Amino acid sequence: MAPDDAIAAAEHAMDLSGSDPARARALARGVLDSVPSTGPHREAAAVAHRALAVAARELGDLPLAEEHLHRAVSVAVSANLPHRAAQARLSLVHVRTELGHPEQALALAADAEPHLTPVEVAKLDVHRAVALGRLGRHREAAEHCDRAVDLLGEDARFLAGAMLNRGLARAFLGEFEAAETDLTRCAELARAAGLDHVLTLAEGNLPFLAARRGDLLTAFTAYRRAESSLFGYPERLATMRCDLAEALIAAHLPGEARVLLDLAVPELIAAGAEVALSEARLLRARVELRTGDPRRARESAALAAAGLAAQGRTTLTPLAVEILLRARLMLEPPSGELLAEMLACVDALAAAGHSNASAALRFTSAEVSLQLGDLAAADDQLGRLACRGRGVVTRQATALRRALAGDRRGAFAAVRSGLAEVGAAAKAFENPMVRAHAVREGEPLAELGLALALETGRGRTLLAWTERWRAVVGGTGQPVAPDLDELRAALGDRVLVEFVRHGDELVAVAVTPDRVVLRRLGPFTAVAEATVRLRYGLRRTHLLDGRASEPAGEAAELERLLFGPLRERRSRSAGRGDPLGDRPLVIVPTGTLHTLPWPLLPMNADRPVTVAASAATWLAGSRTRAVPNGRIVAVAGPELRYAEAEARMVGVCHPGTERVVARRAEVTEALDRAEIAHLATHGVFSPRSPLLSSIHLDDGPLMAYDLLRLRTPPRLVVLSACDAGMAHAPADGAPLGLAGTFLSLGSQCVVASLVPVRDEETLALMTVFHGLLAAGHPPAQALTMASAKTRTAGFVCFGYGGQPMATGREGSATQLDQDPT
Amino acid sequence: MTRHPPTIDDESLIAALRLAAGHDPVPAHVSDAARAVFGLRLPGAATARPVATPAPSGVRSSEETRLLRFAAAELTVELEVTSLDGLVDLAGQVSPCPEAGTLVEIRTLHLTQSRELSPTGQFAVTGLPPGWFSVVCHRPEHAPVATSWTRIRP
Repeated sequence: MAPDDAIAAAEHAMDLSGSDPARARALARGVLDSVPSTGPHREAAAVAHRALAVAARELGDLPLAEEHLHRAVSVAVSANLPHRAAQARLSLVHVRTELGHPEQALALAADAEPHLTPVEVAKLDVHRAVALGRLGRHREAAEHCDRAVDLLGEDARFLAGAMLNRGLARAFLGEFEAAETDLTRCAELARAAGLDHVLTLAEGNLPFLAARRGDLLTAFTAYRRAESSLFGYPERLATMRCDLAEALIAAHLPGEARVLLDLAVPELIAAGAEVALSEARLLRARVELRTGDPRRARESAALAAAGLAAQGRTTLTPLAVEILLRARLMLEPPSGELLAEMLACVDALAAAGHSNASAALRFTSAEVSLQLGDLAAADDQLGRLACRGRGVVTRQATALRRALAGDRRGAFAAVRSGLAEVGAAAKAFENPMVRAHAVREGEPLAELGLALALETGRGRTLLAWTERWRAVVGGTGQPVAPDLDELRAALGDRVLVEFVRHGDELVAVAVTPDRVVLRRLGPFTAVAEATVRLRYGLRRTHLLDGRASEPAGEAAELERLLFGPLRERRSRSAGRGDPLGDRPLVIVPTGTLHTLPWPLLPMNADRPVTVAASAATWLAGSRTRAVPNGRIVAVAGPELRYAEAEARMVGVCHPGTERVVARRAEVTEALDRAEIAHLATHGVFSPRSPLLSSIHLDDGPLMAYDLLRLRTPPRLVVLSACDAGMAHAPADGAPLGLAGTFLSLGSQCVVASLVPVRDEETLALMTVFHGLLAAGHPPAQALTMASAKTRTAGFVCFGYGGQPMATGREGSATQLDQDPT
Repeated sequence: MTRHPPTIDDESLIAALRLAAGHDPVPAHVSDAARAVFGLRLPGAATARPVATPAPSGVRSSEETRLLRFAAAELTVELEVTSLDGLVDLAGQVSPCPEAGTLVEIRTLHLTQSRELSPTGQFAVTGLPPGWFSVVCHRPEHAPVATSWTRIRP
């Protein structure tokens, strides 16, 4: 082969290396086999090695790619071909970055640049952007891509690459619209040019972008699509999983993130993708720390720190050190030595540009100083934070500093300002799950407010502070508490008991007609475990699963833990009996208590009970008015023996009831028009992602997500299904699940079960319930009476259950409809 | 959500052989982990092995079961697993209900929680890290019964 022909063949292999790596590899091998390794053929050999390198990189073999590029550089240098050497270095920039040496890659780029054509410099910039991104220098990365785009002309491959890298940089910078435009453009270019894997990369970044924007449903949908299209590119699939995991951590979903990282890390190890691996280990350490696993966090962070240090990524190393220190803080008693290391890390974080992480660790350092009894050092650290202006940590520091100085009022003011900031930011999210996770940034601040309120020992102060937090979590945007007089007026004869958790301490505040009392109930863990045991027993009983015993013992134990202090102390104080008596109860739960079937407690056997997300939402529910002769709809879901009979029964109890076919479109449409809806179906609660909880219809599941589209949900919803009342509250004030979704959209009352329920027993319960409802009893009371009569447990009345329903029947609530106060 | 220890695959076997042949040094964390696991051994304990749980019927739920059942000669340990926010809640029951003074230990690789059984033989632990776990039932004057190690994913 003549030298020129060999060069042309090698160039052709180079052209193909990105789009058809297997063919490029065969072609380049052919060139190398047919030319001598000396003399004028060396240029062709240099180009062929570069083509083999790019093909190897495409196929995921980074070490082989590096080897070929080193050969290409040395052949070119020995033949005195500086341009060819620079071209090989251009490709090496990318490979060295991926292998864990972004700093060195940038140095290589600087060496190569003088010998390259303008278009090649543009390509170099595209690769440089990746190295800059790895170093956390996203702004510079985006600028290099800007420069490249002007020069690249029609080169679809590099143009697509520039769009991809810029899109990612912009996503990190929070410029979501621009990022989406870039990624969309990248996908268009790749599709038109037949660059399938670039297309999948662009699509692979969509879940990351969506999660960064807080759109988790889109993120998971895009993830599943990308997962199948990246099949066969294990290293890229792993990188995509890491990207999504990072976004999920930012969205406070560490459990989901951990699943993805556990899948990604072994693949990255196998591919030798050191850069991505170190980042994945850093993320995993963060997740492990956040999910209460400090030992594993310490292991992962140590591996990440070693990897990052070896790669010269000094900007990320302090983040790994921070996790190491925080893990130690969870495992060891605080010490002066640990504190000194923490303060050194505070400075290192700040120097590396992680100002938020630095501030957060400084606050923790101040807390450690306090634990060590060094008030002056704590005050010094807090003082430095307090002058930062805005942000959760600043408010936290200001509040704690004022509290330490004895200025409780000032401390409360700082907490309130911080909660208002958090609330205003979270209000922008329409999806209640995203919102509930977004506000968790403010949790330490809310904790501080509660701690200060608890110190006052005053029930009304504690109630106000827990309500402020619940208002923020619930999406009002403002840390406001309901007016106590107004609340009392609406309560009438009822007693409201709000449970508040502070660390592992559980506290109850009871609002009775004549006082507000605060009682400390002891460790929350004991109550949480008793709740889990009770639910376990109840589930087993309802599943008729062999040896399960009646859950009465656990219920009595819970009653003692939750209400004992409220009732006993009262009876001892002169002239005042048990403040609960036989009054109807309104309960505002916290944490695991959202899963407790309250009517099951012995004292509630004949007592109407309603469960609300906050006192404020209960109060708002009490203001909802019935629509005279509103529509009633009934749905019977598939695969249930008694659902059909139940739907018919609803029609008998409430003449004019409309039967709606159990299909998603029809049911959604009916829910938007109905005043009362009864759904007898299978139900599924999804604890990991509560908005994926669903009821089963003929054409598939109707998820809580689907309900978010309703404009006017029914005033009363009866979910006659298993587990439909179950909720998970990432933060108090936003119980997420089917019932919670209806209530957050404006339903006044939802009756639903917290455990599996038996098909036949449910029909019996619901028959009595609807009979009582039609006779004018409000839902909470009707449910209590029906449960007692049929001895069927598990259903709970959520929201405001005190208003009778106008169901059109003679003698029904139409006449009884009245001001609930 | 859960799976039992897999049989060793070819890659792990080759890796083990390489380690055994002294080609690669044994990484420090492997020895540490081995020592930790050795410390979890229970001499004389009977192993309760997993048995199938029947699918529920006649209820308004089509959910896949989250119940696990382990059986030894004379004891059955049943468990229900719930994952929340990356942590795991476990509830369970030992049957037939053992005598008073029976303790269960819920063991993970790094921490062990101990609970007294309720009068009906029930117990619960909340907020466990996901990963490998085993439940050990200590009855007075009996050899302990331990469920085979099982993995919970977050």
